[in-house]
Amino acid sequence: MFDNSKIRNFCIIAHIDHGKSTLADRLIESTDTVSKRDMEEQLLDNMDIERERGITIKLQTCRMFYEYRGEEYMLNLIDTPGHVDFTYEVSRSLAACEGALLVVDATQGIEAQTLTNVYLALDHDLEILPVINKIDLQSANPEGCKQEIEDVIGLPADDAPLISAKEGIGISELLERIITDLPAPKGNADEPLRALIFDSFYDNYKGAISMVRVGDGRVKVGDKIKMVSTGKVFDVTEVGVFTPSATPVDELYAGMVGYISASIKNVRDTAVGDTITLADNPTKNPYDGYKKITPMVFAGIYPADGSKYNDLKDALEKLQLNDASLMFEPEVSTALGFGYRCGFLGLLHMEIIEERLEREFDLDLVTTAPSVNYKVKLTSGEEITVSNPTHLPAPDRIEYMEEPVVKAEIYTPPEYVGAIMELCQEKRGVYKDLSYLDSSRSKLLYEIPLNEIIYDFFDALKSRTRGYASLDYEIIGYKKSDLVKLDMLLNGEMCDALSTIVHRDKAYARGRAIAEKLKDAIPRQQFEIPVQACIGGKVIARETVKAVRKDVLAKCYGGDITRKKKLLEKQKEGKKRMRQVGSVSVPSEAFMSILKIDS
Amino acid sequence: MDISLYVHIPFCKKKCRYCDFVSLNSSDEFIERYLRALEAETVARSKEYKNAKIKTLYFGGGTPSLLTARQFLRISDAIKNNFDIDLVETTVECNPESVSEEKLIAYKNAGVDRISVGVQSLDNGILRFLGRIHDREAAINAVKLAVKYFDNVSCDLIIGVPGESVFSVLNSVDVLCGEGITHISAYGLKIEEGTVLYDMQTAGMFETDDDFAADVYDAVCARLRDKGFHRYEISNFAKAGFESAHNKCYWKRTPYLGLGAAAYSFDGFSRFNNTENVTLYAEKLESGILAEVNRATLSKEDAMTETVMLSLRTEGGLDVKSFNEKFGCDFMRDKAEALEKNRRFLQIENNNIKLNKEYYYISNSIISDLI
Repeated sequence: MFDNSKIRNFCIIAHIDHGKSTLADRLIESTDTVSKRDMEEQLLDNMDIERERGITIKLQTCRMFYEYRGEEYMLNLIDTPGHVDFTYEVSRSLAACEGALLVVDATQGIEAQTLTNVYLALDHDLEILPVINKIDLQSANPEGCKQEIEDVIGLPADDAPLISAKEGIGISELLERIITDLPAPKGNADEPLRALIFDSFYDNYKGAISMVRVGDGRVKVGDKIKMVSTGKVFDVTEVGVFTPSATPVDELYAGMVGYISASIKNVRDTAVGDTITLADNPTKNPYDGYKKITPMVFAGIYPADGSKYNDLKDALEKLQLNDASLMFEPEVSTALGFGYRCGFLGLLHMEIIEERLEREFDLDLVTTAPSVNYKVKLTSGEEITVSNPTHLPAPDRIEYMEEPVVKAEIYTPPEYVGAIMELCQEKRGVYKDLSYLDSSRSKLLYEIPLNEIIYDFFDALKSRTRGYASLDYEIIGYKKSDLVKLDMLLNGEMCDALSTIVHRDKAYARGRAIAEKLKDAIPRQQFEIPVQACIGGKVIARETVKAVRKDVLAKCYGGDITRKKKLLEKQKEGKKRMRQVGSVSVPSEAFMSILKIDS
Repeated sequence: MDISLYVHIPFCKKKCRYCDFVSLNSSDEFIERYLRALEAETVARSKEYKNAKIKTLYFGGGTPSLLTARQFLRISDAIKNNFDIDLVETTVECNPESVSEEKLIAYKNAGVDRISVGVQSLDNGILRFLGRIHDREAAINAVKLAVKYFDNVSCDLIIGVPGESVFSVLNSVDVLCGEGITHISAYGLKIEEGTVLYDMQTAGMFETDDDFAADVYDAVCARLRDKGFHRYEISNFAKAGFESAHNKCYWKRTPYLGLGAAAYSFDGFSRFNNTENVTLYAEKLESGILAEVNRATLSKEDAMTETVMLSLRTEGGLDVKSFNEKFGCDFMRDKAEALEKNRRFLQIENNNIKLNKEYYYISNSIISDLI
């Protein structure tokens, strides 16, 4: 058994592309945990999407051994996801550590996201070791970086290790600093078991597996464990550590990081943030901070080919096994047929799920415009929550509506402050604060309705600041708002899948913009199609899709009937991807075209 | 069994820019070699079709009029000597630059009674755009010659060409009708992949405009109606009694046999065609083998699809009663939804479904609902 004093549990905090994954790879390599031959670039990001986007979605951990002054140390690296959508998962993985490496790109300095996570880490009383990366680059400014760390975060950074993860510079010094500077876990192996679940995933053979940090006590195969939040009891079938592949061990004990498998059927029973203890000797001090994950962004997901509904269902169920934060329930749209209303942590989460559905399950999807949860106070006094515009009661039944508002922190070089303020104004933001962190960095604070953020805020922010600004947000509550349901009529028939809930002041511009998009996205048909945007039956914008007047009159050459037949069959096949709204055929792409509208 | 016979002559002086059919500019030696192969195929196929009576014969291309009179007669004789013929119509496609009085007389003597001239347009700018090697004058002269020797002369027109005006198309129609022709095929320009025009369009050198094409089509239909031509198929117009019997066999799904490279055949049950590779065609027949490829026996569904698609293109429309009897189905019930959706584009009466004439130009989108 390893003495607590020889264990270090740490994570890496870094902005996207500041080199977190590369550093993790280098640490694993330098400790001979994985032979160089077996190294695959960015070993810890094992989903295709993660590797392609350079972000971490699912947590990974890795146990390494390193000899320092004749003693062997166990170093447990806990990878953290790097996006605002996953703040809760980040906070849980921080809770599993005693220390954190703050990796700062020597050419870029500190970014907004880094700060958020640094503050999260400080909240969890983590010891933070600043590390300056990419010192091999010509534009590197390590001294400026150190100064910034001291000024912005107030951390002494004078003797921060200078490294290049890419070139392998300074890695052994860093390993030693992890041992000398980061604290050892406290915990007591003789106390009752107390283990924090900081992530879980689904294995086809072993069921739901919890990734845990053992605070106190010990756990081994055959133990009866209990989930504190639900009281459910399971028999442990395997315990192990990640090296970084899952490797069974005899026992996990206080201070260790590893996994517990107990033939658990559903990842929902291994909720992140929950505490695992022993059924017959439960802990009196479960970890606090457990919270149920609530989705913030909702959208309807439908198969582009209506007959693929069951494939979509299977795919969502399989994804959910691995991602407890994905919620979905069946939904029916007159235009799109059978599909699912899905809840996501945020926009990125939504994009990732869509991408995984399309890529891993080979599905062609139609997604409706993302929406948020609105609180609707009815004239009857009842209060309901609505995320699907179709379910919004008629205006005369609504007393008032409330929408979620976020506190948005935007970090930007000062020259873009004006442009961002303009954007926030357009997005119904309420100005709160502006502070200059240093000569090259300012922080804007706004309160903005979430439904504006999920629309196209990220894209607009990026394009108006040439990518320099970054955004972090958290929901701060609900606010009364003058919201209306904007409907789209095609040839006089309402198309439910195109309805959105918008602020009254935005409705005209949005209605016009959607009508214009649809005019281009809907192919010309045998008759003229009016495209109208309406609020409560009143038309506020109108476009027309002209009638098609000619399709192919080509020669049926020399009796080549097969060619003609194939052409028509192809056309018929194309129609299957169309949705029928009254008499109008609407291609799947048309529903997607309205998702990105600049208004 | 009555059948139609099609003979493909895959040679042209120069390939037109819109053409994606098989046509080559070959040496005289190769043409001779091809004709020998064609004769060999004629003999071989005639044994297979011992009980067939040839009702219509059509020489198409390519450019059949590129052949010398002697060459033409060789093929024509081979057919007459080997098949049982009872012809009601024999057509030769001619291009203005290669037609001559001598050839026309030879055709006439060989029993040809219908000439189809590839005029395409009488606007020199449009002819150049299409990559035709003749001009307006040559086209008019060719039509004059054809009319001199034949009562039944058809002209092909391509309409909806970018840069063309309604006025110029109507002028083509007027002039051709003035020469006394009896039949016009007016096809919309379709830009096929692999053609020069496709590359030009891809490079952004021109755009096609469906609205304009439809305007031209409407104008042509109206003008031809005034001149006593009736539209018996979407793209085909004829004076009474001059409808092409050969053409109709395609729409009626009666059997036809295609001879020559890339020629298509239908025996009532399956469709097949000869290889498009002209050299391979010659080689195969030289070694005594037919050059047939892609033989596909039609399923019941295929046959149903074809019947709907082909008959709706014609004036006569779809005879629902015989369709139901033939395929053991109930068309009105099975396609109720599609029929309802397209109600305004269709004339449904007395067990017969026709496309409404004003909607001929969107036939594809209507028919693809009904198949």
